[in-house]
Amino acid sequence: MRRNSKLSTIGIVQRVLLLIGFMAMEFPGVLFFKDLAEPTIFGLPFAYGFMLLGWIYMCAIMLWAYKTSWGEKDPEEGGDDK
Amino acid sequence: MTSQQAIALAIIALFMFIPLVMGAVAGKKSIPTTDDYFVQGRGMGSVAVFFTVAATWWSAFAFMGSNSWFFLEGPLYWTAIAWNILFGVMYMIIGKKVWYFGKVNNLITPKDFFLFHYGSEALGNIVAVIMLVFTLPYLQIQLTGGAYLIEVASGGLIPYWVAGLIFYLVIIIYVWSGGLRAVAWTDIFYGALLFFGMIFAGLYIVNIDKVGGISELFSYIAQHSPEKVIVGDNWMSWLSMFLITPIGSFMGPQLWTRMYAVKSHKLFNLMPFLLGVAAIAYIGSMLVGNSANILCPDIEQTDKILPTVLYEYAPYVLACFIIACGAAAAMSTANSQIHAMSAVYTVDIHKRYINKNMSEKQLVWVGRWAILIFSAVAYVMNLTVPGALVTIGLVALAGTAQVIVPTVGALFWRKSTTAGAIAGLLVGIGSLCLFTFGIITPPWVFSMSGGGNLLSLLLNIIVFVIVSLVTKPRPDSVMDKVQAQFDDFYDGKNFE
Repeated sequence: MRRNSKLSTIGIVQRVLLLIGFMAMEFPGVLFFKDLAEPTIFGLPFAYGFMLLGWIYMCAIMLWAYKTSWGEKDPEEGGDDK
Repeated sequence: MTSQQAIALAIIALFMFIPLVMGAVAGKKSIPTTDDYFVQGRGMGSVAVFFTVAATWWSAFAFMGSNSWFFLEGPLYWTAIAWNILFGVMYMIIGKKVWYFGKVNNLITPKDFFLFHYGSEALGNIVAVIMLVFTLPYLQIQLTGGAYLIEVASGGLIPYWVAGLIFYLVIIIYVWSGGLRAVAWTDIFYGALLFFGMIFAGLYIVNIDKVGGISELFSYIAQHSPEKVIVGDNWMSWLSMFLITPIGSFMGPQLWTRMYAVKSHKLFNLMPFLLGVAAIAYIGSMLVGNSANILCPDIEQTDKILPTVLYEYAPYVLACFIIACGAAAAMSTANSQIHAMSAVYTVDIHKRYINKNMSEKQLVWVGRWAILIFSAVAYVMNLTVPGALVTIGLVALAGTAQVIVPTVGALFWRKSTTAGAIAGLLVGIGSLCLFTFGIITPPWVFSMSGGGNLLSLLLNIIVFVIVSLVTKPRPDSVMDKVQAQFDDFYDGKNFE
């Protein structure tokens, strides 16, 4: 079956940025911050604050991705046969 | 009865009455076809989709169990921030394709999807059994959480077993009459309550004098229980929950329904952002759970932190209201699960094996009776099978999570085979059972908490890939049809 044939460079960049975000927040990121309590961020211990920063980053990427249809061509704007 | 109990009963009655009204109105709009009853005629609008997905996805597990985990394990449950985002991203990348194939081929259940993509009745049946077996315990924990909250909110006036009965009766009545439309409408109500209830509870509790605010709270914990401000050696659990929870929930039958029922493809692009933003609601559970270190450090039944803290430190009416929001969390998940399990039984089992010649109207009635029976089973389980909310929930989710492997295979890997899918699922579910019941201890880093769930999924993937590479491909008759529809998907055909 065909892959995401209409995925643009922007779409690829967005997916890579999300993957980086997940890796920072999860694995291997967690190995970096699992024993850190300091510095505090927003008054929260490091693990909590770091994840909140990650959340802001990911939401920003997802909003950008939505605005650009995730780098995919909108069917209503005309596919190959439209 | 005291005046406080009277107020509490009035709030509970209100929370029960509103969904019943919505169910009645939804019932009047419905038409007696399986398509309308189970997937709302594939016409669910954007507001309903967001709230019903969010409310179904968040459950008693999130509203009550999470407080317990923040109290016992510190930041471990905070991985929820990331798993909510992962859930949203999966809903976009996988969900849009599932929606498309569902729309074009008139699919209703997960089994329908596998029948179309693999052409295998056996694989479809395995998926249907996994859906039913592993959704039931997750349904049970909704009842446990919801019934307990009703009991507490009534000040003990409504005993636990009666609370459970009321909880289910209300659900049965409105799902019976309105099908998915009633579920989605009530989920808008529940979802809004849940979101604001979670955040408000946390902000209120952390700012009472005895806690003193966020900085003071964590200074206290860092000083008295420093292990509760770091993830520490729980990192495997952190990772396992991040993957298993959203995947398991996403693959639950109730979420398949919420992919099929969507009206427009455009919504799939927006959902990751909306669900990601909504994840901030967990800050409420985080603050309540951590505040318990100051407010009730000796509490034994940690799943009950939220009501314990609220009734002790918040105004009574406010506490009742927020507790009712918790019951809403449980109800919004339970109604969707009962409805989806009913669809699986009706379409995958009854229609296919018991009576193939039933009319659409008769099938809707079978679905209604299935709702009643599944509810009864979950109710009996609730009274006879005890267990912590999160623990039961994680095992149930680890079971449905196994279905992600053949799903992704069907959508993204041409070499996926039926034999590979079946072998992977059997190995995944088999190893999950062995690890869960302690018959085999997972090796290496997987012996850490949560590792067994993750390892069983990895084994599924490995077996799926290896067996797919050495077994015969899916039949040409299946692949030609699948390929043609993939071409249409990428060419933008049949989207409206």
